[in-house]
Amino acid sequence: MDYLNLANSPAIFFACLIPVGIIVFQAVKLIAMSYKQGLSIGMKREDLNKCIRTAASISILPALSLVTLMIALAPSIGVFFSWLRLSNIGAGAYETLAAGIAASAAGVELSSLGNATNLMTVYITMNLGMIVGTIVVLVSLKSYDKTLRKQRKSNPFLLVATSAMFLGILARLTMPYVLNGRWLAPFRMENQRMILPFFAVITGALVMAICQLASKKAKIFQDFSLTFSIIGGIVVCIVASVLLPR
Amino acid sequence: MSNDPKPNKDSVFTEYDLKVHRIGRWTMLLATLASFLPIAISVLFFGAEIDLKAVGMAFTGVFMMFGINGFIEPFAFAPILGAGATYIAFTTGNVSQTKVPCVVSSQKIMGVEMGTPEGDVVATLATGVCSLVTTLEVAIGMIFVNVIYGFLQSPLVKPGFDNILPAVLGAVSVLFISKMPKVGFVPYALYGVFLFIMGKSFDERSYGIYCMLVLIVITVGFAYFMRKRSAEKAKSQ
Repeated sequence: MDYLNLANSPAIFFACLIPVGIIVFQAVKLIAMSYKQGLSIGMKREDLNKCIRTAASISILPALSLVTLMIALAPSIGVFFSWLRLSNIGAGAYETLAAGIAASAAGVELSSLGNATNLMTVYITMNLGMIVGTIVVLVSLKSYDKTLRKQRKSNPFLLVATSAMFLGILARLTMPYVLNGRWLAPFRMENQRMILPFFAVITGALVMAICQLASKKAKIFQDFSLTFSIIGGIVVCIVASVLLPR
Repeated sequence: MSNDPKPNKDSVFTEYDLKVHRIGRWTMLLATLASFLPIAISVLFFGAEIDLKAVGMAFTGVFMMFGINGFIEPFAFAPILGAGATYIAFTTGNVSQTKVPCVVSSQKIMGVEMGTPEGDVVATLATGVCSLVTTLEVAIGMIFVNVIYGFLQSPLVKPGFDNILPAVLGAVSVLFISKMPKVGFVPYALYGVFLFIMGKSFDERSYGIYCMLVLIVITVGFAYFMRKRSAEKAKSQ
């Protein structure tokens, strides 16, 4: 059987459907448990429903980038495994890189794997490559959570430290986009598009700041602030890419 | 669901917490094992073979690039997400790109603090919903591949959709800097200057995760210093 016929066969579809089903079950079960827990600690039902609506609206646009990646991977490794990988543990950038590394270890191009053995090399590598995080969570999360809870009780600074920790993570993730092209891009005709991530960061930040100010007058700016920021970033990048010379 | 701690060795946990860990662990383990089903079926029923040498080489390469992230990220994100959301986030992936911004924004909208019981409830709801939306959306993308591909890859809209993550990070940064303005600017300014000198490619090599660790230590240290200083000021007044 040709390797792409195998990758797109009903058997592989059902084999991918099972882990995706477990993922859906996990999310639904934990949502139901935390909803009940929210009610039991005095949170209002309408607030919890609002949280679900807001999270859904925030998630739609970022998930589109995963759709693009799935579509990019599908011609090489099949539609169903791409779907599984982007639903299961991994990250957008990781999946393509891991698949590319596996293909080159097998001595072929990702776009033409040639046979089922090379396809298996790619599948196994993509699954195994991110397994460290899973093992760390499975082995240590409970005891780590226990330590954090004990510390929070005895040391109130830990709540502040959690926010400070997150700021450190955010700065590391954000600043490379801000410095994309080191602001020199506008002066280098051939690299003008390198500045688009910078525009996206600044637009996202500005729209969020405006929404925070406007939320005192209208609740919609509070509830959809991240969605508006993302849309703002997308629109500015589209406009900039049209205006900037290629 | 009872909120009282159980009188056992895990007494710091409530009955709900213990159940979250139990369900989270089992579903995560099952999902991970089941993700190897397509490989098992290909080998057992379709005669596909496994080239162990190629797998070993490829795994070593991938592990060198991403292994350290796998060790560090759960410890960095668990205090922010709480246990329930961490299980979902590390089963479904895309933690910093989709799950964390969704959690942080939802917590801000709901007016709850991360690390509190209310914050953990909101984080679990937000991460679970985010995971369901992503799975559904990728499934829809799989069904309507021709229409969606044409739209997302068109030269007009592609630059916009390629830059969703920076827009999300810019927005979430404002949320957090406004929450802790004095502390917030420190890691951004430091890393900005550092990358300006060293070049952005420094972060793209595998040094980025170490930079994140250093930034976490500096930011937490600075927050501690500011807190201590304001406590001393309040005392002297």
